[in-house]
Amino acid sequence: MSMPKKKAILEDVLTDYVASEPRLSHAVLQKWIRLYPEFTKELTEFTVNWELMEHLPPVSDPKLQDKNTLVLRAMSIVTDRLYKRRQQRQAEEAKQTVEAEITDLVAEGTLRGLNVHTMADRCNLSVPLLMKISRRFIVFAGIPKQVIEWISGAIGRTVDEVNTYLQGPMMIPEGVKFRAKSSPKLPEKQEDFFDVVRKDTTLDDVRRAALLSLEDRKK
Amino acid sequence: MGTQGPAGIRPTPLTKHNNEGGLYTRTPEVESQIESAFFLDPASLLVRARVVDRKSPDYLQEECLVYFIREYLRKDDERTVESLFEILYGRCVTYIKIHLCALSPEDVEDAFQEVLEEVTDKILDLDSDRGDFYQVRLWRALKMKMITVYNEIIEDIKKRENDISIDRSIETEEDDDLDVFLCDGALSSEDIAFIKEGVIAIPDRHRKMFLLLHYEGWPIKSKDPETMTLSKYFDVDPKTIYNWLNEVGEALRMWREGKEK
Repeated sequence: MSMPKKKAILEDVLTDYVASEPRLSHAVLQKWIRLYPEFTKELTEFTVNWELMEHLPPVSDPKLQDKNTLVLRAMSIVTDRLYKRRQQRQAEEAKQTVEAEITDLVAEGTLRGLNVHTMADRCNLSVPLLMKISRRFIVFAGIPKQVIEWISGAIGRTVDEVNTYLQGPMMIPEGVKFRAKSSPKLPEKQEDFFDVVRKDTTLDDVRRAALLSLEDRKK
Repeated sequence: MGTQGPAGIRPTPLTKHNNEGGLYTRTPEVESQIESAFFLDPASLLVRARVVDRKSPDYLQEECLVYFIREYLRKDDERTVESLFEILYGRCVTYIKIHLCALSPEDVEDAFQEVLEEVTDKILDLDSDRGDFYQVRLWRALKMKMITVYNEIIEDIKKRENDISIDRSIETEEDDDLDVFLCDGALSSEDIAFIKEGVIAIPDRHRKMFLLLHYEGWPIKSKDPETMTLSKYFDVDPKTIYNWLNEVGEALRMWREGKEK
């Protein structure tokens, strides 16, 4: 049995012992040792000290601070525990919010007041390129780290969250499905980021050159 | 301020079971006090919690304060939680400190801190019923916590120092006719009352043995191997216990003489 588990069981046994017996005594101890022989030592030691506490005269400790100081000390523990509890809850809430979230990068931008054009601009991408990234039509491993950081900065989410999102399967956003005359189909396979950059006619030369320079850094 | 609660209001029941399968229950007094304070706003509740006269109809027992601490924690009202804790600890801290001092003057600071931490954690733990006993018998729960913390500290010290305190050197005596100053039944109740005052004069290492023998009636030895005895508890020969009693007798004699001068 692990130590924490044993400690928890012992605590239950001792709580029962104290809760059930109006007075702890040698005879009562014998009864409980028969009930819990595995805790003979602990029950005995506990009973001995319980009895000592009954009979020992209170000691006037020269270090015994006044009551207010003792209460302040106790309250510092309470304050600390409440603070930790608050921190833990905030962290859990934040985690839950995050887990439920990114379902579409462009939609994330919209939530933060960015239309697709502004968002593409903030990320130094073209609108078609951003849409392809958002729909996960681009091979994740080929997307430069720098681009992911731009997207992350634009939508106010962590790089890890964006990375996690981008590693999901290709998808067609709900809005696109709704507007299409026939049911839209996914591409057969994901494209390479830099190939798309090269073919993207909506990118101006400066931006294309900047993006392609990331390929050199990747190498 | 009324003490009659609205009809039909029942405090959240406890969920912890005892070893016989029964649920822990608060005392009727605590239940009644909770009911009477159930619908008070925080400010009025704190006014009642500050009543110190135990005979007042507005008085709230410590177990009741624990209940409300947990209720307000559920509501995330930390300010009320802190105020109630302050009142609760105002009633308990001196009791804890004094009794820990009696048990272990050297380690009292560590023990005091640990007791407070564990009690606070138990009361604030809303995810389990491990703190239920604090709503049933708070003073007993505190005493239990003090003793378990004290035992753990002693255990740690033993481990650290590998300190085996058994003095086996005096177990070799074969004399059966020991001059026993104090043994089972040898003291009158007057003697015991008088000596209680002088317990402090008994050396630390023998005080425990002396109290168990004379105040709790522990046998020194027993033919029944299952029976817990002083000799078994201290892991020494019964004759060693008699030797210790002689030492205690001497210490008490000196204390008595000093007192009479």
